[in-house]
Amino acid sequence: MKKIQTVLVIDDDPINNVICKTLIHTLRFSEVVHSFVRAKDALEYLRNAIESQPEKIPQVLFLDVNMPEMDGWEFLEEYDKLPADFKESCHLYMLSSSVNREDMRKSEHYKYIRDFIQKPLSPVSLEDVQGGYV
Amino acid sequence: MAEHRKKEDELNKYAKQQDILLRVSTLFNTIDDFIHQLSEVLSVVGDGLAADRVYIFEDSGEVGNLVCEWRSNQVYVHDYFTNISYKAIQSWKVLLSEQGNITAQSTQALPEDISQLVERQGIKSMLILPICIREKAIGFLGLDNHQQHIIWDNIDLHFLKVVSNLISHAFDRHYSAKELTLTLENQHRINHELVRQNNDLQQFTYIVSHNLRAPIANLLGLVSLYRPQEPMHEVNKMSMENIKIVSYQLDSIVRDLNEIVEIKQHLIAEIKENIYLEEEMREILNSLERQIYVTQAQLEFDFTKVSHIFTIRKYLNSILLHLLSNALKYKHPNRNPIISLSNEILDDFICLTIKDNGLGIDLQKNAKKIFGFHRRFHSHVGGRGIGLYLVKLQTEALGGWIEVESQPEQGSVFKVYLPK
Repeated sequence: MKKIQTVLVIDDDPINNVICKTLIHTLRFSEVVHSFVRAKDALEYLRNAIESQPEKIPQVLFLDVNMPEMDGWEFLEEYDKLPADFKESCHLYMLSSSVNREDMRKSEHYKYIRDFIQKPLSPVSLEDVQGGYV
Repeated sequence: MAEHRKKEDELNKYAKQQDILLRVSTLFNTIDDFIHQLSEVLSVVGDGLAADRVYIFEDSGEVGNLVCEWRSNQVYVHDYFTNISYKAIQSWKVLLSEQGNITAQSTQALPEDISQLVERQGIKSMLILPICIREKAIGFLGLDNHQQHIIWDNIDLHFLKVVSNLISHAFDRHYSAKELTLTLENQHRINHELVRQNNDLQQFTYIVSHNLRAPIANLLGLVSLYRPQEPMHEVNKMSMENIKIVSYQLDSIVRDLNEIVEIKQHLIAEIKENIYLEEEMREILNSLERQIYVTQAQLEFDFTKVSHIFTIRKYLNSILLHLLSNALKYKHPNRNPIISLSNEILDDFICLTIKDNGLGIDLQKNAKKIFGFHRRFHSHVGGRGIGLYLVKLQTEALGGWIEVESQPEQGSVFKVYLPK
């Protein structure tokens, strides 16, 4: 059985990141959770991990939509340039507070988005993510 | 022979009348330039019937006003009435409605009040016909002769009745067209207003889905993490602390929304007053004292060009406060803020300029978002991203607008234009 080692949470809202971390730790969903309030920093982390530290490569990534500077969609444009084998292995989920159908519809156009999860992250959605990974 | 002659005259007269009618109808083919068309019609009628003056009066309450007239070359200086009071000539309306016309081959045959009016203007012979819209008299058509007493026979009367009907009909079409234009304009205005309200509602839905939903999701998440069985668990402490923070966020969002709605609906019937800018500035600087001290900001203002401004104090205060506190909040990490305020008069507006040396904004990327709802441009500082949207609404409520120039890393210049 494949184990989820590392999770990345990208959201400019620190409270959401605390919620995600606490829940993931409580449910022992993964061992390591890294959170980023700037999408740019997360991108830097990914590039670095892929290049020289494969043990840091995340298996699951939660991405917010609305963020200052670089938002979720802009992040995805850059994400698309990462190596294909990484994108195949990493499961990317949009995690947004939006209840706007437009946003959900938009996420359907992106090949690497597994699903659109509405905040808050819950044990049920984590179970689904786990199920999708195994 | 005399019989023959008479017939020929009659035929000639008839042909002439037909010619006039044809020309009048042609003139009223369209109603584009109504008053001009009326004048043309009057000249055709006057010329054709050898009258000295032809005119149209339109009623406005108890008074008839001259709309347009035609005069022959024979008539010289005459101080014609350009309005008549029906109260002064009671028999006018009575005669028009009872007889359908007022004719006087000799003015002596007229009731006294009318004959006085007519003689005063040197009129020898007169014919008046009502102009009606849907059977209601709205004025009259008149023909005067100053040189001779004209004998109007039944054919003449019948003919002129047709002419006045044509004119009545033209009036009807003219007013219908006018009414239609008004209705259309009104519809257009209502449409416009509906589109605006619809946009407002869409924006409101946008805030609800993006901005209110975020703290609510956080609350739901935090509450579900809480462990009631283990009161001393550290997760509980974390959860409670954050619930407190989110509650305050929610409160301020709702307050902001309320403010937006109030401005949008112009609920605040604030009174404009003459505000002494320097005094207002000192008050604002007082409320920012702590931020100014912490950032070691240097502030300078120059209101020598315009010392006072007549506007709504509450809005002006909020605009300046928001812009100044933004300038302090988004300061450049490597230098102390230098903020300068000045103003000048540009046409009908007073332009307030607020210049800083802060972080700046990448306008190429964010030009459309900058005055929008809940957009933050910098990650490291908190902000609900609503300030500039409020500033925009408030300047617009004051009858002005706001502009921004900015270079990332260099600073920003905000220009608030308010009516003089």
